[in-house]
Amino acid sequence: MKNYSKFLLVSSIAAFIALTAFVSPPNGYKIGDKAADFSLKGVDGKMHSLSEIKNAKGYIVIFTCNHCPYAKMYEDRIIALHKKYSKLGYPVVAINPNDPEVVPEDSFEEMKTRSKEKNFGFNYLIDEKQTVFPQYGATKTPHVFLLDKNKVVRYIGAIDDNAQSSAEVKKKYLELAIEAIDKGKKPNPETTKALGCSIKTK
Amino acid sequence: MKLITFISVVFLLFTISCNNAPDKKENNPANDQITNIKTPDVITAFDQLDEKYFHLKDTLLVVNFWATWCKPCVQELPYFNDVAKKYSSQKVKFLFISLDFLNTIDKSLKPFIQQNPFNGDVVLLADQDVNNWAINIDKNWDGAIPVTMLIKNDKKSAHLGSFKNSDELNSFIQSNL
Repeated sequence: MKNYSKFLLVSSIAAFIALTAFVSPPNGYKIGDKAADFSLKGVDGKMHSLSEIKNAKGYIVIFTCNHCPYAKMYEDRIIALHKKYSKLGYPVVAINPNDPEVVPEDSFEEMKTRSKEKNFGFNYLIDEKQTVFPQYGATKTPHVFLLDKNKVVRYIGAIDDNAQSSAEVKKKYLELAIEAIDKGKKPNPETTKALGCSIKTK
Repeated sequence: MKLITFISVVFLLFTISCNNAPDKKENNPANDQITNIKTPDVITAFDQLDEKYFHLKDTLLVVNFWATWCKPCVQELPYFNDVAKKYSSQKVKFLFISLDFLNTIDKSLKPFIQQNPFNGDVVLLADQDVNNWAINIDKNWDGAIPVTMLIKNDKKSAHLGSFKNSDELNSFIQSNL
C-alpha cells in the first residue's frame, strides 16, 4: 500500500511535469515578466551580460541581424537610438539570433565586419546556442524588448511605424516607451506588431 | 595624325552603336513583350485591400502574405501553385499579397512575378503601419511572414509561418472549405 501511494505520487508528479512542459510552451516574455540575464559573445570577442552595464536605468534589447532587409532599414535608427539613449541610461544591446549555417551573412565574422563598418557603438552579440531568443520570445528581426532597470519587460515590438522611410515615421513607439518608463509611467502602447524576417534555425 | 583620326573614327562608331542600341531594342517585337510586364496592383492602405479583395460570396479566398526578400515565403510559393490545380474547378481563389518595398519593386517584385508563375492576383501592400492592420490577419500574428489566411463569407482563419509541403497547405484548405 505504501509503495502503491509512493508510485502514485511519483507518477502524478511526473505527469504534472510532462503536462506543464507541453501545456505551456516557451512563448517568451510578456509585459511585466522579469527577463533573465544572459552571457553572449560580442563582436569584441568577449562575453557580455546585462548586469555588467553599470548604472543602467533600462536596457533596449533588440534582436537583429545583418541579412534581413528590415534589419538593414533600421540599422541607422538603432545606431541613433543608442547614441541618444545610452547617455540617459538606456543602452542598446543587439543580439543576432540567426543560425549562420542557414544564413552565412549572419556569421560572427560578418557581424564583426558590419559593426566595424558602421561603427555600431553598442554591443552586438551572437546567440550562438539559440537559447536566448526563444526565452525572450523573439520571432523575427528586428524585434525589440525594452527592459527597465530591474530587467522587467516594459515594451515589446517595433521601433516605429514606418520601416521603409524614417522621414515618414509618425509614431516612434520605442522612444515613446523609453520616455514613459523614464517618467515612471506605463508605455502606451506596451506592445506593437511589425514585419520582420523570421529567425533562422536549422 | 593618322592615329588620332583612327581613334576618332573608332570613338564615333562606338557612340553610334551605343546610341543605336536602345532603338534596336524598342523596335524589336520580342522586347515589346518584355516591356509589357505584369504590374502588381499597389494598395497603400489595408482597408482598401479589404474592400477590394476580401469579400467574395461563397468563394474560399486563400491569401498568402509574402515578399521576394523572405526566403521561407519564396520556398513555399510552389506549394500554392501545386494546390491551386486541385481546386481549379471549385470556388477557390488565390491572392498573393507582397510586402516588398514600393520604392524597389522595379528591381524586386516586378521581375519576380514575370519569371515565376502565380495562380492568382499579386498585390503589393504598401501600408507601413503594420501594428494598425496586423489584427485583421490573426490576433496571434506578430508580423513574421509568411502567413496565410483563408476567408470565406467573411469568416477568417490563419496559418502562421510556412507550410512544410503541398499536403500541409492542402489540408489547411480542406479543413476550411
